[in-house]
Amino acid sequence: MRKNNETLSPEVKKRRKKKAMLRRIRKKSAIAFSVAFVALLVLVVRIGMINYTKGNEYSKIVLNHQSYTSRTIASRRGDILDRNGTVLAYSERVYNLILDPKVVLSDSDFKDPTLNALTTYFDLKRSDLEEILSTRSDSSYVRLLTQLSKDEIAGMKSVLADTKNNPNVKGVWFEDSYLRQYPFGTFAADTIGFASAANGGEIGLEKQYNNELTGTDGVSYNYIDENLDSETTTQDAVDGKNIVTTIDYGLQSIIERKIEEYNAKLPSKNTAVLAMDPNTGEILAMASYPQFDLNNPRDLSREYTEEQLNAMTDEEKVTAMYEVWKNYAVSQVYEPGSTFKSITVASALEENLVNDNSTFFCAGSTSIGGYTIRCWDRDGHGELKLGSALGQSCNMALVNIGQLLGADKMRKHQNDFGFGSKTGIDLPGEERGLVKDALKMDITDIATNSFGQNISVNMVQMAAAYSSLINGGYYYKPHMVRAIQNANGSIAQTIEPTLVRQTVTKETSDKMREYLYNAVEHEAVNAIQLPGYAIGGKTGTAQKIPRSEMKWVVSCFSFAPVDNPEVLFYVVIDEPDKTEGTTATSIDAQDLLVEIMKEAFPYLGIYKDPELIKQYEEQWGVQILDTEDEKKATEKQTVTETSVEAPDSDTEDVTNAENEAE
Amino acid sequence: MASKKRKRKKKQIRKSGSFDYTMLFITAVLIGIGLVMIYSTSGYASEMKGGDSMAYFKKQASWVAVGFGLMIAAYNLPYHFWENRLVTVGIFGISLALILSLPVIGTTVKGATRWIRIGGFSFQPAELVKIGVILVTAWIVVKAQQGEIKKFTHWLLIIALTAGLPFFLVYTVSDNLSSAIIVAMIPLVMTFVAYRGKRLYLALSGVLVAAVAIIVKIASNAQATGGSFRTQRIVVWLNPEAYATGKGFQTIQSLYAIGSGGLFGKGLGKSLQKLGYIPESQNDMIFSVICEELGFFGASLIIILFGFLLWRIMVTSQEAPDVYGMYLAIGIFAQIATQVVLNIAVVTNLIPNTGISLPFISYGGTSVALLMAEMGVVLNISACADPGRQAMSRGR
Repeated sequence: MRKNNETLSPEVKKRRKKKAMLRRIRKKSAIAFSVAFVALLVLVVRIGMINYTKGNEYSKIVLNHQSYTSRTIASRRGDILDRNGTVLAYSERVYNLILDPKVVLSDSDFKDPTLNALTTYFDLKRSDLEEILSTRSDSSYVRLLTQLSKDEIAGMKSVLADTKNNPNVKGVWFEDSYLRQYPFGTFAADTIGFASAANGGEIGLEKQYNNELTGTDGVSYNYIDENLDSETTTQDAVDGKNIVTTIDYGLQSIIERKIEEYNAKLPSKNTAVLAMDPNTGEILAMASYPQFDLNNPRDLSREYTEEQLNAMTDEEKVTAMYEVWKNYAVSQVYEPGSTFKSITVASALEENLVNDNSTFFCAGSTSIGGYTIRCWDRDGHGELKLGSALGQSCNMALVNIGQLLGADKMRKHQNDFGFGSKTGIDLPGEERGLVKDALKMDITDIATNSFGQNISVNMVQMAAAYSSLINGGYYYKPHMVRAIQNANGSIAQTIEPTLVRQTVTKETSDKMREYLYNAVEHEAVNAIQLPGYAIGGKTGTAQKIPRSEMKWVVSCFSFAPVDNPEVLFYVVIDEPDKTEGTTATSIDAQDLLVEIMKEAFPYLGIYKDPELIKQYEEQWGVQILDTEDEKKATEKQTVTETSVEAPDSDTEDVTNAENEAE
Repeated sequence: MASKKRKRKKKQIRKSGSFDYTMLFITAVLIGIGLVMIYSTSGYASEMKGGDSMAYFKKQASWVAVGFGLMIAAYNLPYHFWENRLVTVGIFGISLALILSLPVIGTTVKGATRWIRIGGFSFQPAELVKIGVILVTAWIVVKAQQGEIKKFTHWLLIIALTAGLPFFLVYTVSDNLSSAIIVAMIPLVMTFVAYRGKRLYLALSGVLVAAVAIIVKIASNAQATGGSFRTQRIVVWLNPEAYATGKGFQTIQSLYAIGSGGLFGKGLGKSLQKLGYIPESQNDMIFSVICEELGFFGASLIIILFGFLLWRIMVTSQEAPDVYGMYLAIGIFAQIATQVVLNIAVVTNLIPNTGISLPFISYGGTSVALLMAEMGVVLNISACADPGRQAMSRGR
């Protein structure tokens, strides 16, 4: 056709031109194709090169993508309960607000809506957010806010869920977390302890039972299975177990209130009270002053003024914190003083070295191994029977008994009562105290040990030893936890009392109860006498080291009812107010103990015996009104009476190698 | 004389040549691969979002059906229909008008207003501009050559009208640099073929190379965090590894996909990178998943298919019965070639990341339907070819 066209065309010039033009167009389009062809070739080479040079590296990276997302599901830390189920510590679900700057910056459209939403629903400044976005643009995880409640995040959550209206709010999510809460704040603070998000349990039961309380975090994985389907596998979080402590919330509250009241009047360095079930070794209450708030454990403002705090270095603050956090009942050792005399007497009874009729003579002082040892009664007690020697807390008699025992037997019995070794109570930081080796004990050591000096103990050791002394001789390991529950409340483990050994025979135990009852009823400890109750008890006043400072630790034991003790109290006041001087009395400890017992006995179901009230009336020549209505008035009255009429009980003046060598 | 000529012309453009089955077959294969890959890439993501894993596939398939109808219509329509002034200027004008109206009637998807929603279908007017540009350039160039336009300034005017104006509108109004580049490349290639001299295009290439060099130079001193949106893209392009977790994420993940494919790939449907690493992998980055699943051989095969398709369009142009047919075919060639080359160049990080889709394969309804219509036109030109030339060029 074209040929026809060409031949038919009369204008040869034009035809040639057109031919040339067509040729040119074809040539140029061939050039265009060649360029495209070369470009395609370059691309093929490029793909080949990527595979050849980076193939292995990239394959490995991609394989790593196989399990390509995982998210931690926070587990809940278990609760700490008192013996009746009152919650002392629990974990509350809270949320952390997380920003993913990488996602927010991935598209220029995301930034404004996201920042607007954040500033609308949270107390965040736009300038701060902008700063985070610019300085941490490579990060995927910036924790903006922590510990938000469900209500606080509700608004933002609905914005995020409504992807239709808010398609550009991106890179914001909430991380589940838990906040440890202590509903009663200072309650049993150094016993319960506290837990931090970073380390778990830091002190107290929270630390001791950290493994049980801590759960196992769950994980949610997205991964690709063999069929190359995406699978989501969720390993649920296993929540931590609850621990049911032996603490009785009511009893502990009474004790803490009384400690607080006492220290408000007469601030001591430390005041600690232990309540124990002598038949099981369970700690019913363990309180100490000064306290701190478990919800804010690093706040020292209770103990120090602002100026003091400002003047402190960080190191000093940490030291001060540890001092406040220290659980006096297990971590502080001290010389027990006269309360220890019961141990010496019981040991001698066990060895049949003394009996009811053994008599001792007290001249006020004696010379042992070149040192003068004095009795608190400088004039001397004269002749005393064994029971009275204990009841009057006569140092001279005890020195005699110590000499009868000798180093080996004394040390053996001290061992049996658990002194010098940890009781193994389930609390961290127990100190075992210092006890001299029998071979190294000289005659002076025996003498001072016999009345509780030159030996150091902790409160739990003393309480456990006393429990065995009064319960028939059974030494139970003191413990704080009676059961461990699963997160759903079912019992996972019950912790039974552990009988460690027999310290004394039943006969000795009976005798000791009798002596200690008499000490309260008729002898030096009658400040803790309560009308209607059969109470046994023993006081102690010990001079602290260095002796030259004349500082004292006063203490008092009690238990009731005498015939079948249900509870044992042990009060220790370290450096009571205004006790510096050459003498001190344990009256502060006795007064505090009486205050506690008056409320604690009815609470514990230990009731007054009318016979005993009558006895009391006869003994003191007073009339006790004991109708239910007038109960309180009665109690108040008796307090006044006892404190007025009770004689200054036991005051010892201990002299030893350190200051009064002869 | 004039009427005689017109008669002859009409006689010429009957379907006297043979139907180009090869071209139809290649087109069909590419569309088929596209559908399979769209299912492969989007299935996971849409299922993860709680939707139908076939959602993207179904949408694309329905557009392919529409495209098939358009292709048949275009094939049966003598291509000189398009040379009509009303049709050409009409389509060109309407397409630009649609672009201009985007801020008013457009729908915004992911922050970009590039779509017009009609019923259930979204339509991207930039795709129509490509066709409008092809038509108007072919028309104007033929007119110019008939009138023997030789003046340099006139050619510049033609280029400004066909390349400059649509580029400006698409770039500024719909903020779509990638489509604007394609829209400009089409008339540039067409006028290059039509223009007599060489100096103009040598100069143009020189300017282009210089511009690229300057941009790269400036960008390499800039930081990815500062500077404009586009400068950042260039900085990331030069060193994607440094921004692997940020703006270079898509690029570097695409390279990971290509590199991990190996010679024969992981097998169809077995890409790991599509599982969230390459966002929206059914779109512009689909070729990287092809590389991962089908390997170097599969990817090369697809590039060869594109090369072959371009070759057939090229040959159609060479065999076209008249200049208008030639230019029309060249225009379509230019569009497909530019998109293929630029898309794969982006995927392999030879050029900065810009959203250019891979013809026939990437997800996108307007694009595939209109491309199929264009192939209908090419098939019509081919069928109208001079059998003598056909025999010559095919070595018969």
